[in-house]
Amino acid sequence: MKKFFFSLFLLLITLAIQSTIANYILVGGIQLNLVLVIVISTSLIFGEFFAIIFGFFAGICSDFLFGHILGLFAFVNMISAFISLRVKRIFTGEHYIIPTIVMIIVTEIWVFLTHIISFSLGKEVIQGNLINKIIYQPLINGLVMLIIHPIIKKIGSLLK
Amino acid sequence: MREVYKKVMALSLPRRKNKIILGILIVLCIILASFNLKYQNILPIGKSIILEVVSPLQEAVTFLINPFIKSIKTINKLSNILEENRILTEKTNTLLKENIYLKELERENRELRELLGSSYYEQFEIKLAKVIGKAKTGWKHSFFIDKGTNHNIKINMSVISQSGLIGRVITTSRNFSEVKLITDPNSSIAAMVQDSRKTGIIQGIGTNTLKFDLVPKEAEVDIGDIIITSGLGGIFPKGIQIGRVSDIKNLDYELYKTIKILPACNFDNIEEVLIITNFTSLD
Repeated sequence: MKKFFFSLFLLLITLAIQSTIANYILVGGIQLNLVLVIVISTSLIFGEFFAIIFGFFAGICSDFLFGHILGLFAFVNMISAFISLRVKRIFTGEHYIIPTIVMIIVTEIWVFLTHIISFSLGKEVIQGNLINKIIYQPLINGLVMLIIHPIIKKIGSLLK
Repeated sequence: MREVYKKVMALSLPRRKNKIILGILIVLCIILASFNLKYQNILPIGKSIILEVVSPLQEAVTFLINPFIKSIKTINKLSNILEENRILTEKTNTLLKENIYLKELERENRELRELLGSSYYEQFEIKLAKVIGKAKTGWKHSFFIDKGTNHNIKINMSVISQSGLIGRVITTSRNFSEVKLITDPNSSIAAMVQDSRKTGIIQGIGTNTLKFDLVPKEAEVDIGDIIITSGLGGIFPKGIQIGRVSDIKNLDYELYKTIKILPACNFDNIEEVLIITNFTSLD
């Protein structure tokens, strides 16, 4: 129950920050994807079942607030959360840099999937924007993961 | 052997369960996307619910960060102040000349208005709203504002600023609304050149510039020309400034001119917007 309320609170705060502060955190004109950072960070802490459910709900909320196709972010966030745990298995140990590396890899997958699906459903993809996203989005997400993940991990261990 | 089998099953069952849930949710996503593509009205219903929950938090965060954002903007402005001063001095000289001419026009206009009755703009009622959040992705450009159906805000109402057109209301909840910006890739506005009255369609392209489409190649359009709403389509009132022409190309393989427009509003700095509440849209 604690985990549920914590996730709900975290999700609401994240959505509020994504639509306010995140607009000012730009690298190469690309905005931080805080929702994805939180989804991946919590997935690495709470495991596969949580990753799937939280990824889906965070995605649905993103779809309603920032999305252009209902279900797209829900699908991509859920798959990204699921994959993040598979990617993490490649690495051994608990080095603090591992979540950041996972975040970078998963962000690339996220960018690839969202653009492929949007393009397949007839949405225009701006080339310059896509290239900037491929380069800068993983960097900025990875950097924020480096700061945020230890905090969420600490709260997660308190909840456990 | 049975013991080993039981242990293996006990280990693999949660994983299999997770995969089943994942499969169900993937199917759900596909169903949602299909419904959304067929019935466009699903998104606004869910959005108004989410808006009611998230917007108070957005409002609080905006309230907290605004002083910091303003300070950073002031520091940035200070570094450009000398150059800005030179440009402003030049502009003042030009504006002084224009002012004399405009005063004459104003007098003439007042006389004509008295002859015709009330002015066109005086008929509009305007409501002020604060921008509490933004959604800016490659596919979507929108603002969240702190006024909703409780404040008589309705879908398709035009949203403007002192500089010009911002967009239109696309979703409303009780206390909050979403405004689709003119830069949104799905935004189309009937527009015309203020001087030559040549009409076309202004389209958002997901960047900070706009595309002025369907303007014939022989039409007279120059860089710097002001583009205003034409009133066609019935959503936006006629005569609201959209922006200025920043680039024109006559490409051989295109049927129409390729015109880029720089919006009159700087969407990154807008904190407050004005909503025209009594213009009746045609749909």
